[in-house]
Amino acid sequence: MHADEPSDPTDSLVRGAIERLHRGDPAAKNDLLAYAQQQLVRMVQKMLHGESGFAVVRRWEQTDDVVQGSLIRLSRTIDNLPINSPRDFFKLAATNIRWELRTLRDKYLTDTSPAQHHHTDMPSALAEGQAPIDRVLADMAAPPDSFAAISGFLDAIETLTDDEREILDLRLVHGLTRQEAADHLGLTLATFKRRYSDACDRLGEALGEPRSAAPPRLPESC
Amino acid sequence: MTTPDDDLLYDLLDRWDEAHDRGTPLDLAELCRARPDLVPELARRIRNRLRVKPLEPGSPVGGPPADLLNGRYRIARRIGGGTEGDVWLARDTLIQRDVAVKLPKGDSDDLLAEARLIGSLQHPNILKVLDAGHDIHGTVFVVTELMPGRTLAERVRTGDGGRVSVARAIDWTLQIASALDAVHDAGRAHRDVKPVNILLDDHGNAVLADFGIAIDVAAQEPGGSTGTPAYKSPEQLEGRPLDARSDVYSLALVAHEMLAGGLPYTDLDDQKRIEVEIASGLDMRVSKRIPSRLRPVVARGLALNPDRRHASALAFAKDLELAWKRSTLSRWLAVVVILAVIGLALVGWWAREDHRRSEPTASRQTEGAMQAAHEAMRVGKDAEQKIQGILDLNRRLIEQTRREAGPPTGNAP
Repeated sequence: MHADEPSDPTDSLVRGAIERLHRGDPAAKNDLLAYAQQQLVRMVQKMLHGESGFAVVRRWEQTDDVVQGSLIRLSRTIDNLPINSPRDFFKLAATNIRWELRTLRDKYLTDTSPAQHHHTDMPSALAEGQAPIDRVLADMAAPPDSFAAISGFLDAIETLTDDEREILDLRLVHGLTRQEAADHLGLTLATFKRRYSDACDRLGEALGEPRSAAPPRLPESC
Repeated sequence: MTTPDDDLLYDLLDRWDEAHDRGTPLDLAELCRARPDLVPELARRIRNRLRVKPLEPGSPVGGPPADLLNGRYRIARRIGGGTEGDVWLARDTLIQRDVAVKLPKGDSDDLLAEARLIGSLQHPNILKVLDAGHDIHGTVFVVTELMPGRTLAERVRTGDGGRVSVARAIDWTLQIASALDAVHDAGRAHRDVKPVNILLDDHGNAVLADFGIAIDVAAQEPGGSTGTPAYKSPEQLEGRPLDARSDVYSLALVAHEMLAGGLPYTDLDDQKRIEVEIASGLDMRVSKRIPSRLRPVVARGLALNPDRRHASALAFAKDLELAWKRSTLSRWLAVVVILAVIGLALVGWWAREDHRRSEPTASRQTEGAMQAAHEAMRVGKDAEQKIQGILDLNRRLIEQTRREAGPPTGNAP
């Protein structure tokens, strides 16, 4: 399937909004911003809902304010940069979302809250817990803490190429299925799987390395 | 430009990926059985994929609301799950104990229906439902007891060659069969009997869990093929109506895995199994790693035609137990016979040896007596010679005395 013939509803929604934006429909930008807001909120929730999320959630009670600030920045970007296709918008939105998440993360990490000293291995409440819990946790390949996982992702993805970032963003930031992402890029599912696999391999390697001091990539309008 | 090895590697990684997402992870060695040289590279890629997995859509990262569920259960982390929902480790802050909380992925009504079904089944080998309901945000949840041990899938993986001992395998089969009979008596079929849904505690107890796709046998509709492909019965694979005997088939597969260290087939693909089993009409061959007397029982449980299988799960398990007891009895009888033969042989040998040793003893004793007699005779002769010598000396002294005294007188004595 060609990239100009998207099949997933998200792609169609964004494509329609861009066409209306080019025709001067002021509501189109709001639709695009609404989509970006939805993705950002989803990612923030995802970041907060792990076990460390319990510790930090109280610190982020003003998340809505942060999201609003992010949307204002994205709105300015849409005004200043040419967006000719859903692909342009998806890349722009993903970059914006990742930047906002990093801002949130760094704000939290530079705070003096006791929660900043969280460990990714096990929440303190559980480390002090009963033997059954320890057994369960020790015996299973538990998913990593969501805060640490997304925090690590935000750093690691900056070490990849633009193409790798784009393909990963579609799955990890926009939440598209493999088929939707393949359609979005105009690739066959098999080809997408291979490229995604390679990008995951590179990201996995970067996630396994000690955290680098790579500076965040700011949205071009910021 | 990719090489054939690259193509194979991508294909293997894809298969691993899909199985992982289905909740039925594939063993790396098994995956690379035909190309063990690819294991290191595939392992490296899987390690990297696992680092990214939590970030993917539908991953457990994120999970339930961060506040107290229903004002009572503090969710800690995901500890399992499948297509119907995720299971989270939680703390019951009211009673101060650890529990498992299941949250739906899809239709929440299904989760409540599952809770009602489990709640109606009071059985020691069925996971107990402690609580269920909607929290203030409308989130449906089901709270069950927390099994602190492992799943049977984990136990099998870490067993000797992927196996568990025969006695243990039969014991767990009996326990799960008993639970399944309770399910079947209630007019239901579990439809997802597999090692990952069997929880084990530290006391040897096996507990059946995850009734997410259990159905009312009398009210089922044809079509559909829900369940884990590797453990589906033929009728389940084909979407035909099924009954308790479908669970018997799955239980026989689980028993096969425990006894042989693997499933009787290596290709988990639905279509392949249908081709091999259903189209050919051949029953599945059981592994020769299973003790010979148990093989016919397992084979019957895996019969293609449900009519040829055991009528109930417990009948299958008891048949398995009986075959094992007979096998054990036969072995003991063989040992007794062998010991008896060895014993008789020892007795015979001892008797011969005793007889052989008794003969030289008498001979030695006779010889000693004769030597003693000869000695006595020798001593006797010496004494006789000495006496004779003394007598001769005495006679010579008398004659000498007479010659010195002259001729004898008339008054002289």
